[in-house]
Amino acid sequence: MAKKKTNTKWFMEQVENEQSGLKGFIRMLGVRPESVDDIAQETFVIAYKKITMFERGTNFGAWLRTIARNLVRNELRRQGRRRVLANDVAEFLLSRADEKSTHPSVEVEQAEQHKQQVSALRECLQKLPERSRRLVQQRYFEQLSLGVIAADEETNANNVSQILFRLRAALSDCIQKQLGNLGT
Amino acid sequence: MTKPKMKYDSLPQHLKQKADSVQAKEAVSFDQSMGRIIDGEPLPGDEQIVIQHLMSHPQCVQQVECHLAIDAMLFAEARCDSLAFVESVRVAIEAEETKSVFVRSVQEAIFGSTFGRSGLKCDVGDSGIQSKKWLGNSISLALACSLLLASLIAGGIWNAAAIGEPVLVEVDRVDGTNAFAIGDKVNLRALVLPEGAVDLRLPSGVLLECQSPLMARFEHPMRLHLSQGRVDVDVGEEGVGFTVVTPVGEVVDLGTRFAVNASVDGEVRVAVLSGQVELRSQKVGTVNLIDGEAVRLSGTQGPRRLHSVEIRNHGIDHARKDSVIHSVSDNVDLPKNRRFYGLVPCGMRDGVRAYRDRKAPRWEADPSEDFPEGLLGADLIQTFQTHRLQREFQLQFSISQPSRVYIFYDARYSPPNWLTQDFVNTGIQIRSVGWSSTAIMTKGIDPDAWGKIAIPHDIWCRDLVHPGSVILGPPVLSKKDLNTTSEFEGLKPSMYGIAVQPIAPPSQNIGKSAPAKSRVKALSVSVQ
Repeated sequence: MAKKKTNTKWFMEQVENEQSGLKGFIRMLGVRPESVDDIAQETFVIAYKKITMFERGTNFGAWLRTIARNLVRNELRRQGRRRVLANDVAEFLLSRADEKSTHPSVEVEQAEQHKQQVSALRECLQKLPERSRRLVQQRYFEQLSLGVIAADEETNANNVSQILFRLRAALSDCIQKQLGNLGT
Repeated sequence: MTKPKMKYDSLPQHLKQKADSVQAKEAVSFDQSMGRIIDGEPLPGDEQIVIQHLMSHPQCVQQVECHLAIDAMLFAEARCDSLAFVESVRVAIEAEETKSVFVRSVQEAIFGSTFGRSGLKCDVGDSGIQSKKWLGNSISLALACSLLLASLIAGGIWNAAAIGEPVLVEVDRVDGTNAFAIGDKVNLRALVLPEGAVDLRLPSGVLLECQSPLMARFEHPMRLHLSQGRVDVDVGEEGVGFTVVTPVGEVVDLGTRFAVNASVDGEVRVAVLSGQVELRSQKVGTVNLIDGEAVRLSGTQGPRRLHSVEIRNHGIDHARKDSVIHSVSDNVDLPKNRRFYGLVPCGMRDGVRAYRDRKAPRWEADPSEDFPEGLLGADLIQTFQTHRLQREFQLQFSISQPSRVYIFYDARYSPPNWLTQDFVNTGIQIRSVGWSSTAIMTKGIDPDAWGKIAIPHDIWCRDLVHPGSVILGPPVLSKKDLNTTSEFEGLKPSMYGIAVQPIAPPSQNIGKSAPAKSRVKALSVSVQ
């Protein structure tokens, strides 16, 4: 019983450490935003049930991502309501993730960068112009649809999508710059 | 046969410009399509554009991944609920662990403790002992158990990848389980409750009172699959249409409070506690049930009347939790008669609901008196008015321990013989209060000083020193009273109320030492 309690305690510590990066990874496989938490929770539950198969000392995050990839793969095979974006795009992203998994060092590097990226993102958000910050607020914090945002901004949904696209690209550039500055 | 691609450098300038323009257009088109896909609102053809572009420009997949990564980080920043997520994982893991324990407990409950613990499979004829156990069970029960355990093995109900979406629930009440704490907010898909009880509030305001042992899962926030156990549902104002799906049919709320109980032998029981529900099953089609009606049904039998339903009352804090009353029933065998007796363990108190087919009337003390102390915390049977006119009416119930049985009989009429022969009038009264002025039972009664219309009831009692059965007759007038009650000529007494209190020490008895002479016949209490 004492050993099981320790394992559970250790496992929950891993959940705290890995959950942010795992959710980002799941989203990058093309899972819908509203389903990311769901699949992340399923991943952790499966990992807990199969914890005896994990070799301590190896990369726990990488093992979680393997489980998550399989869950998303199952999702693509399901009939009816799915929790991924466009199926073919998700398949493409999944096959790329499978390729990366054969190069564990790449995955490890990306995982380690995640915390720094999150920190850099916060700083970059502060630098956004007012209109961009308002769009981020509406889309991500209030989770409004493109149509509702478009009505508020007196434009159309397609334009809103394009603005968000450019905004994400700008944030990505900003983050790279921030990380680059950290390195110098 | 495809044309060979010409090298860009060898192209004349105007064609280079054209190629650049086409490429730029493709890039814009790809960006737009990808943006809409990432935002979750693609247009027809967007997927094809993106895939074609990725296949011809594989390096662009990094761009897609980058956008998805930023998108994920922005959502994570917005939610900022990492603690809630970690907690939801903890609860999900605990549910997995209790599932294993629960499967074993279900196994033992069905097959006995000698059943092999190592396997979950029901092996018919495995051993002499097993054969005896199988002979002792019905085939349908064994099959139902096999199917249940097979589904557990397959992890059907708990399979996180199965159909159903998680629902954010708030824990309102917890009793006898560590799986939840009051105030918890949990994303729940499957609910396994091997012990205790928990009240969960859904985003729509629907309140689920869950009683173990229970197995259920959400299909979505307005639809719950109940495999086993009891759930009392209070839908409030915004939960109309909430549906409980059982192995034999669906219960659709039409604005109500109702209870559903699914048992391991495949029988489902549905009771309407207020409002109405629609019961849909393949076997019988659609059946409407209203407040005060309850049925039981299975895969092989259509809806039959359910005589009594235990009514939970969480406001009561009583040392005794279980009722001493069992098997309440009557002899009214009319088609489409679905009235049930409400059994409220330890529920008797000032202001408790009196009848199952009348929402308003409550049992209250006479305004000039305190509520009889000996009645407090007694088990209450909520009767109904519907059959009070049946002259051959009989109501029967059993008690599991020595008890005092109380009958609240309409004080406006002389009591029937079945009451005076076996019970004694305590000389104390209680009232059913809150009647409508148009109710036929209250004709001729003026509102009291507080404007309420109340029917006075004499409290009669009888001690049963051994567990046993009690049979009560109809409330109708005896023939001799037809001439003496001209004020209420043509009317009938209100249905009587019933309460049962485990035998209390003499100091807590409510009877007066000398009952009032005007209403008491010279009969002794018959004790069995």
